[in-house]
Amino acid sequence: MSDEAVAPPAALRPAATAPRRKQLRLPATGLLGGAILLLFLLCALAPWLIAPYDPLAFDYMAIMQPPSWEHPFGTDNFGRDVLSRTIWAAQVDLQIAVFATLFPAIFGTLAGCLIGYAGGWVDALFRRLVDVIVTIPFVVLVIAIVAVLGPGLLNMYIAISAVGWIIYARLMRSEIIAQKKRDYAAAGRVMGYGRLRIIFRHLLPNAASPLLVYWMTDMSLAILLGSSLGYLGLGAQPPTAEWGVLIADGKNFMTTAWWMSIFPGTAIVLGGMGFSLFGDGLATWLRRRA
Amino acid sequence: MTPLLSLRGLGVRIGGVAPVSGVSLDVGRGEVLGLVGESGSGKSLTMRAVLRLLPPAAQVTGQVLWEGQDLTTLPEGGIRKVRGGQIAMVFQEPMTALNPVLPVGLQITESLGEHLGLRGAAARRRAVELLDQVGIPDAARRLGAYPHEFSGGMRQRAMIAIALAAGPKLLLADEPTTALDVTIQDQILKLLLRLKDELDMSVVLVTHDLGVVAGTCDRVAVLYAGRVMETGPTERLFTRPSHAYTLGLLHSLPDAAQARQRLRGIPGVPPDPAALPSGCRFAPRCAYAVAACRLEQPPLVPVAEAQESACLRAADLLAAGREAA
Amino acid sequence: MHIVGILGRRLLQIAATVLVVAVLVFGLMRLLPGDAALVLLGERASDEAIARMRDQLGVNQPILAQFWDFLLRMVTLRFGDSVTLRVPVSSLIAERLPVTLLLTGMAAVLALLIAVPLAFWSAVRRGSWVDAAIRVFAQVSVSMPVFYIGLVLLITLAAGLRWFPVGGIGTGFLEDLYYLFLPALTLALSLSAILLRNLRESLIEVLDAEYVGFATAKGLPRGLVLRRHVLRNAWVSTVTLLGLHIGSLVGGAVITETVFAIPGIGRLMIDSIFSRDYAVVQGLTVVLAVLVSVVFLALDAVQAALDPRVGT
Repeated sequence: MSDEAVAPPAALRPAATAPRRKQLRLPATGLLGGAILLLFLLCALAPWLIAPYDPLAFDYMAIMQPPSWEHPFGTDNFGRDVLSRTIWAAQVDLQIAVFATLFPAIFGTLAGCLIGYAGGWVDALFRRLVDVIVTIPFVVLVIAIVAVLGPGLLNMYIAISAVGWIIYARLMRSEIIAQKKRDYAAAGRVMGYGRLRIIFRHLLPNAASPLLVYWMTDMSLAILLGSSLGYLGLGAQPPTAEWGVLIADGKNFMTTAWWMSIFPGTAIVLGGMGFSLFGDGLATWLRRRA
Repeated sequence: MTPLLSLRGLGVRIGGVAPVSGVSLDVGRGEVLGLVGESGSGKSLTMRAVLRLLPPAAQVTGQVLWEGQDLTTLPEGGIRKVRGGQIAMVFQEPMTALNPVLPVGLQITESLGEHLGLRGAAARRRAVELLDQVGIPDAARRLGAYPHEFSGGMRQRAMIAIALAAGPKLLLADEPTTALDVTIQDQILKLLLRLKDELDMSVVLVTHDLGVVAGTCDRVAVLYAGRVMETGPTERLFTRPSHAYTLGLLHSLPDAAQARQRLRGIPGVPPDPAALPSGCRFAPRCAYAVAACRLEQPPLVPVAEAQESACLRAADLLAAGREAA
Repeated sequence: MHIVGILGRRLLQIAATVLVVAVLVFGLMRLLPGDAALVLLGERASDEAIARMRDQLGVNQPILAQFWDFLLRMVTLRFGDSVTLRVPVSSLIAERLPVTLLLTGMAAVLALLIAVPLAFWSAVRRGSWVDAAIRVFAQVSVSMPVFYIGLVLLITLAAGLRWFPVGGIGTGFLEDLYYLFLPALTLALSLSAILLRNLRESLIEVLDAEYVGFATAKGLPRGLVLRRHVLRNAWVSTVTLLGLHIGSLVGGAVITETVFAIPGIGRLMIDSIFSRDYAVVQGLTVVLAVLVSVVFLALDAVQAALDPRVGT
C-alpha cells in the first residue's frame, strides 16, 4: 500500500480557496475605520487645501452665524469659520494620537519584555507598581503631573508617557510569560541562544499582534484624553485650534451657538471611532490569518 | 418492533457547507450502538441534531423519529420534554459541561423538578440516590460541592448522574471517556454498561476509539465526512469489514495479537466539508478506489446479515477477508 | 481561619499600597514649581510675612522630617488646613466626599442598568439588527469624551428641554438625586459603553459554553437556562469588569464635576492642583487611594460570593 497522501482532484481546489480569500481581507468596519483615518490624515497633512477659510481670521461681520452654505459648521464668537478650525485642529489631534502613545508603546513594550523574561523580584516589583497605579485614576495622575510641569502640549505628552507605558508593559509582560511557557522558547534555550536574542527574535514577534491592536485603541483613548485636557485648559493652548479647546471656546455659548461645540465634538467621536474600528478590524484580521 | 430512535436521511447545513448529510441509523431497545469516526466526521453534530441543540444558523433536514414521532417538527415545549426526560446526553469534557458556579446537587435537582416535579427534600433524596448509583462516595455530603472540587472521573460520574436524573430511555454519550485517564476510562465504560442494564436504557456511544467500541457496543456505525460508511454488529465489523474505510481504521488499531506488525495509519486527511470530493468521500484516501468510486456516492446497501456498506468494493473486501481467515 | 487570613493579608496590602501612594504624592507635590507661601499671600506680601508663612507650612524643615510629619498626620487623618480655603482639609473632604460618592454610586448603578440588559439582548440576538444597533451605540459612546457627553446632555436635556438643572447641587437628599441625575447619566453612558463591549463578548462566551448546552440538553426551559446558568456567570465577569474600570469611573467623575459645577472631591482636586493647595491634594489622593482599594476589596468579596472557584 502506498503511504503517500492522495491529493484531492485539482478541479475542487478553487471552491475551497474562495471563502479564504474573503477572510484575508480587512472586515468592513475596519475598512470604514481606515477610511475615517485617511480623511483626517488628509485634513492634517494639507488643511489649507481643504479648509475654506483661514482658521484664525476674525470676521466681525459674521459673528456666531448658524450653519449655512457659506459656513457649513457656522462661525464662532469672533466670526471664525468653525469648519476650517475643525479641519485645522485635525493636525493637532492626530499629532496627540501619535505623540502621546509613541513613547509609551515603545518603552512599555521593551520594559514589558524584560520584566516578563526576567521574572523574579523584577516582576514582583512591577506588580506592586501596578497595584499602586491602579488606585489613582489615570486622568487624575496625568492632570497632577501636567499641573506640576505647567499646561501645554509638550508637558501633556510627558505626563501621559510617564504613566501610559505601564499599560503596555503589563500587556507585554503577560504575553511574554504566556509565550515563555510554549515550547519554542524552551527549544531556543536548549539551543543556547542568548537571552536578548530569544526575547527579540522569538518572543516579541509572537506577542506583537495584541500589542499593535492595543496601540490603535490607545490612540483613540489619547484623542479623548488629549481633548479632555484641552477642554480643561491643560493641553493645547488657545489660539491653537484643537477639538477640545474648540469645545471649551463654545461651552459658554452652548444655548445660543450650539454649533461651536457640537461639530468639533463630532470630529472627536469620529476620530476616536476611526482608530478603534480600525484596531478592531486589524484584530479580527490578525486572528483569521493565524 | 419499531426501533427506539431512527434517523432517516439526517443532514445538517451550516452556512453553505453540509458537515452531515443523509445519515440513516436505528437504535433498538436495550442496545448499545457505537458511532465511530475521526474528529470532524460529524458524530457530535449528528447527536446534537437529534436533540435540536445546534446553533440557530444550522439547518436540519431529514427525520429524527423517536418512538415513531418526528422530533425535528416538534414544537419547542415538546422537544424540551424529550430532552433529559426521554433522551439524555453526556458531553465529552465534564469540566466545561458542568456549570462551575452552581453546586452539583442543584444541577441534578433542577432536572428532577423540571421533568418529575420533584422539589425540596424529595428531590434532594433522589439526587443522593443518583450520585450513589453512579458510584460517588459519601453522596449526601457532596450535594453542596462544586464541580471544581471533584476529580476528573468523579466529575464525569456526576455528569452521568445529572443526565440520568429524569430516567431517560436513551443516553447519547458523546466521547464520554476521551478527556479521562486510561484507567478511569474503563471504569466509566463499565459504569455506563451497568446503568444501561439497571435502568433498562439504550445507549449511543460516540467515539473515535475503536478499542472502546470493541468491549462495549452491540452494533457499530462508521461515520466518515458526514456520511455513514458501514453499519453492522461489532463482532462482524471487526472480523469482516465491508468498507475500505473500516478496514483502514482496523489497520490503524494496535493489536496485541499482531504486536510485531507495523501500525498503518490511513494516509491523508478527511476532506474539508466546504470542498467535498465527488463520488465516495473516502475515495481520495482509499487504497482500493477504482474509477467508478469517484463518479457517484455509493448508497448504503445490505452486504450480509444485519451488515450494510456504502462501498463499491464491499464484495471484494469480504471475499479477501474470507480468504485471509 | 482562611477568611480572616485573606482579609488580613488584603488589608496589609492596602496599607502598603496607600503608603506608596503617599510617598508618590509627597514627592510630586514637592516638585511643584511656585512657592505655596507666595501663592497664599500674593505677590505683594512682605518677605517677613512669607518667611513666617513658610515656617507655618513647614516647608523650611529637612525633607525627611517633613515626610515623617506628613505620614503621622495622614495616619491620624490630620491633613492640615487648606491654604486657599482656610479650613481643615479633613472637614473639606468630609463635606465634599458624600457628593462624589453619591454621583459615582448613581453612575455605577445606571451604567449597570444600561449595560447589562443591552449586552444580554445583544448577545442572545447575536447577528440581528438589534445586536448591530447596540454595537453601534457602544462604539459611538466609547468614542465620546466624558466632557462632551456632559455638554450634549446639558444642551439638550437641561438647557433645551429644561428637564434638569444645568449644574450645581440641590439642598437635601432628594433634590441632590435630581440635580445629580444628568451628571450621573453622563458618567454612566461613558462607563456603560466600555462595559457593554466587554460584557457582550463574555456573555457570548458563556452562551456558547458547554454547560449552557448541557443545561439545555437536560430539558430546562430557555428562561431558566438564561436566568440560572447564563446570568449567574455573567455577573462574575461584570463584577470583574467593574473593578477594572473603577479608575475610569473616578477619573470621569473629576471631569463631570467640572463640567456640571458640582462641589465634589473631583472638582476640589482640580481646583487645588491649579491653586497649588498642597495639603488638599495630598489628603484627597490618600483618601482616594484608600477608597479605591476598599472598593476593590468589596468587589473581590462579591466575586468570591458569586464564583465558588475564587478564594478557595
